[in-house]
Amino acid sequence: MAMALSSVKVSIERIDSKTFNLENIDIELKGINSAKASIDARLGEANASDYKAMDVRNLHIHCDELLLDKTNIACNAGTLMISNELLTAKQAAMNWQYIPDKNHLDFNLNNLFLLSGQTRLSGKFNDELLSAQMVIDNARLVTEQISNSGVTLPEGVSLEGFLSGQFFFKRTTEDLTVNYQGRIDGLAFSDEAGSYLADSVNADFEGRYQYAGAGHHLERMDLKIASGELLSPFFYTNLSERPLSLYFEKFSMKENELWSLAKMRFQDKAHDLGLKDISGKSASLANGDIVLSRANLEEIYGYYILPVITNDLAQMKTSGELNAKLSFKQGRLNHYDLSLKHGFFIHQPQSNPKKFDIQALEFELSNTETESKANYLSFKKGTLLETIDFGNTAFPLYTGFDSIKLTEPVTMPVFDGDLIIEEFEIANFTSSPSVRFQGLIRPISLSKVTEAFNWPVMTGKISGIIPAVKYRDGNAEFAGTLLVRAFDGNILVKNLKASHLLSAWPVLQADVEFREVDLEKLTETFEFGKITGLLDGGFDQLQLQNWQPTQFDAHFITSEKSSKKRISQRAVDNISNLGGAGVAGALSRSFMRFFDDFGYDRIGFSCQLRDNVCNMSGVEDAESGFYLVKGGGIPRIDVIGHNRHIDWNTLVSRLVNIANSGSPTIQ
Amino acid sequence: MAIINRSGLAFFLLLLLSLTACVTINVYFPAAQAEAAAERIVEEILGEPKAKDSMPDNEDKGASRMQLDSSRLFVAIGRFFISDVHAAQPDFSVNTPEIKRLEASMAKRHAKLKKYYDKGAIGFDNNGLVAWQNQKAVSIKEKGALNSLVKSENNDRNSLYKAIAKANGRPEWEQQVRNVFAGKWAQKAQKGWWYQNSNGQWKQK
Repeated sequence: MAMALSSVKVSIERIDSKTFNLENIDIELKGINSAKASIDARLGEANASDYKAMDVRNLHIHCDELLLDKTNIACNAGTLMISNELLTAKQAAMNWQYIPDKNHLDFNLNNLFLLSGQTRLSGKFNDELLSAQMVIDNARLVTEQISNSGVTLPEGVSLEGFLSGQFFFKRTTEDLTVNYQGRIDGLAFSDEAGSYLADSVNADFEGRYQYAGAGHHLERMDLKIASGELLSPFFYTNLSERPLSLYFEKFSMKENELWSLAKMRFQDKAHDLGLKDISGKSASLANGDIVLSRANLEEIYGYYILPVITNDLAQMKTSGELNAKLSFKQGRLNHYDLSLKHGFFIHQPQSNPKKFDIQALEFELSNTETESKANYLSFKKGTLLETIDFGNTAFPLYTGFDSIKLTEPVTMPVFDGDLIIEEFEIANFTSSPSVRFQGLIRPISLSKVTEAFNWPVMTGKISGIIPAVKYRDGNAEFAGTLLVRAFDGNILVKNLKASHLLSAWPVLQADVEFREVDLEKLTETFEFGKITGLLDGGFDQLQLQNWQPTQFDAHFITSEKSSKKRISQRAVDNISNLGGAGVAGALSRSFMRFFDDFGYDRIGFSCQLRDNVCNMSGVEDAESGFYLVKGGGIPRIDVIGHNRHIDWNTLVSRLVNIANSGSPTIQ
Repeated sequence: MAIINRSGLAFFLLLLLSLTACVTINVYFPAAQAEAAAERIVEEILGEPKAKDSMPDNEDKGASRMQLDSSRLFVAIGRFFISDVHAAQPDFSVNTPEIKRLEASMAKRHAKLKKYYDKGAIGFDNNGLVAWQNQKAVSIKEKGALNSLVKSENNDRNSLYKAIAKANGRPEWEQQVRNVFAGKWAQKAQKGWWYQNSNGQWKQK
């Protein structure tokens, strides 16, 4: 006896597999042989052991108009209810058609919510092919849900925003491709340290993605960011002011973190940066070209880089047109062409109102691993501290991959003299840069130098030898003796060392020797009161901290070779004034006021500075003290010091008072 | 004879002691001096008025001596006054160029950091460093600059604690120096600034 089956109900309490656990499955099929069949399928809970995002609660598929025949299983008006981490639907409209002979399924789903964004999904698939279309409106991206969906985000990263778009999926037996087009709104991103940030970013994207089993492949992506802010340790940009367009072509990510990119282009209204055929591993670049065309330095520096700079470079301004091409091979730079036109550079620290600038700076630098072209760098005009002019100079250079070297001596006009740069080299500038320099100063008028610095105007010329200087990591060391000719004598600076030069507390050490310096010129310059004769002496073990002397052994004495040895009344006054009040008045009240100057035998002193105290002595010991000035001839005047321990700051402030006061009145 | 015997006994006992006794010398962390040094450094960096200098102003009290003679004039240079220089070596040394350099660098940076302390964006943490207190208090543009300021400041602070311990010949005091400073930063924080207490809670002054 044949019995027609009109309804079937299957209930399964639990199915466990390695990857899935299903609970409470109920499927009920009614009216199988009637024109109006229906299906009601429920799944209480599905748990995926690997992906929490695949966990499903309360899946309910219902269809009242189920068409069941030999060639066709179809539902024209079904509903779907689902609750899942990413996907929810209370009453999604659903229809499908399944053709068992061809194993072909056609489906349409409406009113689904993917990450809370209204979603429409339709597609067809059979054994070989799946093609589907998904339209999402305002899906909400939230850090937690993204991590739960199986995408691994680095620890501490937070992400928020909205995604809308159309995605066209096509899966063949070989690969899966996705053509996409959409929009991101209000994207905010932050890494754990808050170093990489994005806020309120709105962008349009469009492109094509491919997955072929062996790795990911982004065929094309065009990203146009119209507003928002981006921050990294290297740049900041407000995209509302400066929209950005990024284009990627053929980006492939293979196993072992190997990647390649055929083309990348970064454009804003002023820049065009291109990368071509680059490849690398993880975050490092192995091969490829980076091309920067006609970049505007003022824009790049002023707009992108300046907001993240907090050191003294923040007071720098620069402009010019930079062109660059850098080629990498096996992780190393193996070719470059760099050129700058119309370069301008100005540095004006807040602490120092005087600026450093270079105008009309140009360079062309190029190198390949096999040949180095003749390179040069030139500028038309520059000033140091707003006052020292240096002129039109061109530097012939060898530029390697880790060094720059001057190929022949260069003469640079400075005031009415020259600075001759005999040697200049920067080595290891990619790892720990060191600079070597050696040169000569051809006579420059001291009057020009001193005027430029607003110092008391000095006469004479300054010239000298700058011995080999090595500079590395803020520390400079002079290999020989720095010789300066000034006040008709020689000033020799030996064992000169400077450490932490660019820090807030530079330390300088040197031994300075004075040989036969003309006292008349020296005292005239500093308006100390005229003294004639020659002075020998110097500072041994001089140490300056933050440009203030903290230690030295100074000793000065008039030279045996002095031909005319006179000291003016004003100079005696001033030396006396150093001792405090009273003495000067006494001198000018005495009959000695009738003499303009006096003869002397020797003038000298020594001062050993330690712990802010100057331990003094003079040319020789006196009965109760020491002679600072030992007189000679008639009338004879001796200046005797009594205190051997003098507070350094007090002494300096008295000297400053003398320099600042005008001529004393002698009545 | 008895004396000799007694001396002999004493010598024997001393010998015995020297063979058996173990002498331990403990150098304790000079907390009070460290506190005083930290206070001075923190005040200098935060730009608070310093305690008035003890240098006496003796300028005019200088006794000058003058002898007049028909052929000789002695002009005695008036006495220069040596100020009250503390000649004694301090127990706790903070006077090396490296410490001075770090101090100067931090004092310079403080001018830029101050407004962010005022805004409550950053504060003093309980490890003697600067930390974010409220990321939302500054714009994203300021965050870039502030991130790098905080990084440099903390590098300097770490170097400072190390340098002070080293200047005293006790590198192992670094943590104690750090603790003293952590307390001092919190104590010297201005009204409205934030600091972290020893339990790690942020408090506003």
